Amino acid sequence: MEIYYLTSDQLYIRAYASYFEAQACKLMPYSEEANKTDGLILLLFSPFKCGKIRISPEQLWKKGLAIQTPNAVLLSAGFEEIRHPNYLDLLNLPSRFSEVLANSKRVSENWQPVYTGGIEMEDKLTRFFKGHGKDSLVGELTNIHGKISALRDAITEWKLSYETAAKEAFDSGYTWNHWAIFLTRWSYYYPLFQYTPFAKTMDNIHAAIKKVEPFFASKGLREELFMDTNCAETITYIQHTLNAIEKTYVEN
Amino acid sequence: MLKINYRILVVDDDFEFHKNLRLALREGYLFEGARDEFELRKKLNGKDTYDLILLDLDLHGNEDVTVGLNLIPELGEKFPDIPIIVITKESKISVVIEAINKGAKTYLHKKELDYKLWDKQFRTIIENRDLHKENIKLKQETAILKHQISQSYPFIGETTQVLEIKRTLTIVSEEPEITVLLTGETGTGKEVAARFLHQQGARRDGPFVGVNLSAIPKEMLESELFGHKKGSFTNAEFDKEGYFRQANGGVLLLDEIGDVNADIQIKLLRFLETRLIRPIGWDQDIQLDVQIVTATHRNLREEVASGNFREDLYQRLKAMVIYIPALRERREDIPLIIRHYLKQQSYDEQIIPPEVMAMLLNYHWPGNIRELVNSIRSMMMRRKILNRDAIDPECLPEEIRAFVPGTIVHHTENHAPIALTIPEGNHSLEEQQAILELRRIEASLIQYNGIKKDVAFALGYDKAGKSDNLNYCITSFYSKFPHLFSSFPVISKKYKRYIKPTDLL
Repeated sequence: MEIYYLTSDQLYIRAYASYFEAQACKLMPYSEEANKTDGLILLLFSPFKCGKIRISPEQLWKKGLAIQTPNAVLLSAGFEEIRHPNYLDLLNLPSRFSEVLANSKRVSENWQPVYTGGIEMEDKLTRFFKGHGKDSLVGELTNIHGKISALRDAITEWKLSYETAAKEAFDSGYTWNHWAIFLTRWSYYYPLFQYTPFAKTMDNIHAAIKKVEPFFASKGLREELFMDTNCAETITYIQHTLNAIEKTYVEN
Repeated sequence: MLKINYRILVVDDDFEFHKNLRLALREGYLFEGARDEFELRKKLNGKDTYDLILLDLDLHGNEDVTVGLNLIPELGEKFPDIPIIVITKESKISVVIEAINKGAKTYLHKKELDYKLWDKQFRTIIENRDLHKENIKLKQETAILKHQISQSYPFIGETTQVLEIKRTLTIVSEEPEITVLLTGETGTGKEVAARFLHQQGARRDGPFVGVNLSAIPKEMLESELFGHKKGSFTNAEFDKEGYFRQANGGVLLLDEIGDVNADIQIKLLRFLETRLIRPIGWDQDIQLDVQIVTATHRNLREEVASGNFREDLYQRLKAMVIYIPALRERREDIPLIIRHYLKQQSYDEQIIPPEVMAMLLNYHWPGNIRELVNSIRSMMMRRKILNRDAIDPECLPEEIRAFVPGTIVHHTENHAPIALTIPEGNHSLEEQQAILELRRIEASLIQYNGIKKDVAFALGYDKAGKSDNLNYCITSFYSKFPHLFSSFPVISKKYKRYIKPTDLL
């Protein structure tokens, strides 16, 4: 039986590989490809270490897997003394792992994952989207998106020169402030998302941000950066992708 | 393609948002900005008009949507012609639903911004608003047109007969299924009566279609009435709806019903029994909701007796028979009709002096109201040609001028004229009125073979009140103007109990 795992510390795998082998289970590192597996079993060694802080992303995983693979089994593993059908106490491992699996609940069922002691990532994600009110990270991005899309439409639809349209668009200078705030917040939150179900999507967003960053760094003076980076489309991609994550994991 | 410039009032505390809209949608729109509800009210109460309001619900930037939500019904009430689109950063569906329930047309998320999509949304909503306004305007125009048409066919008359006919038609109009047969001489206003029925009743909002059956060639009558399918016969190049379908939901007047052939009679009978018609070339029937009003100058009973009209159809048609009297049977209405048409053409009624009016009153009007209206037009034209200030006898049509004064002519049922002498000399107004009324009674006594009860009914004297009583009327006239009765031999004979022969000199 294959058991997919996710951990921030490979020591766990080395320490417990023999236990799972004895239970006729093979530990496999998790990737999104594994979501295609019928009857996916995902073991989260939680909490996860992200630099100096620890995070607990179980709630997000339960939501994410329930949409993609509703029959999946989500197990948390750690050193807490917790009795829960979907929790594996690493200091008190069951003699028959198959019994744990038999008693565990599927992600589509109604149950609450255990809290493993790290920062609750569901709360963190809500703060990522909603924190700071209208000046939230998404609020800042919305301002940037509105401006960059208007600039693009003025050039493509109304055939304004880049210089004329950019002058009109950026005369107040607010856009660069919005970008700076957005970038600061993103830099803080981005590492926290690496053990979430949408980590790969966040990596793609990060790459997109890096792609358009030179344009914003130039404060819009370099037309070629706007054009070459597909700035408007890239910002739209970032906005729409973040909207989709918010809808799935925060508003659902 | 050149777009119309619509004026949009953007209500949002974010000035950058205003600028972005102007930049992205720089052609086709004129954006005005208001940062809060106070500026919004100021703008709306100013001179400018707007085609759309874009309203940010979070007007004060504190995530409180209450102010924005409460503005929607207020704006809807004060400015019902300006649609509102709600702009929000908030994704809460409950807020959006509340905004739409309060009257917003739709909502747009700033987070899902797409100016091209917004452009389409703006235009769709504004153009729908325009269509809605156009629809209201058309409805108003239709109502005005209907009113104008009803003014073009006024049912003028204050004689007891006309008042009674109007009362009957009003009652009948409340029964939208009943078939009505209007009888009377040509030109008496049968179509006017039918239109009056339509305007009074339950079908007033439906169409009124009037067809003169005798004016349509026999071979085309079925197609004209019931319609046809393209190609169903030679020259049928298009589908034809037909008068019955045109009148669906309303009233269909079939004038000169006595002139239709046996085939059409069968189809009319079928419709009256089943409410179904089948257009030529169709393989199925159509159910229609049409009130049928028929009219004829013929005596249908005689047509049935002579085999020209189906008995069963006649029985169906005569569910409600209303006789429209000839103009000479209601001469008191002549001044009213003349006055109406003079007013319509902006003439003062003084343009017709008393002697001309007397000639018009004495004329026997074989063509009834139609002839009277044409005579008025002719008189006005001749007045201009002869360069007269007022109408004088020379302006009158030849037949009216030639009509022998002092003689009134009554037409019996078979249109044979009966001459009646009237007293000569000058008469007071009251005396003239008495003469006119006595003429009516005399004529009706002849028409109804001297049966007083029928005359009283026909002339509206059958009511219980003493003043409406025919006997009272005659004795009253006799007490005042006994000398007049020598000119009314039939009245004198029928009421010999009251009228002494010595007065008939």
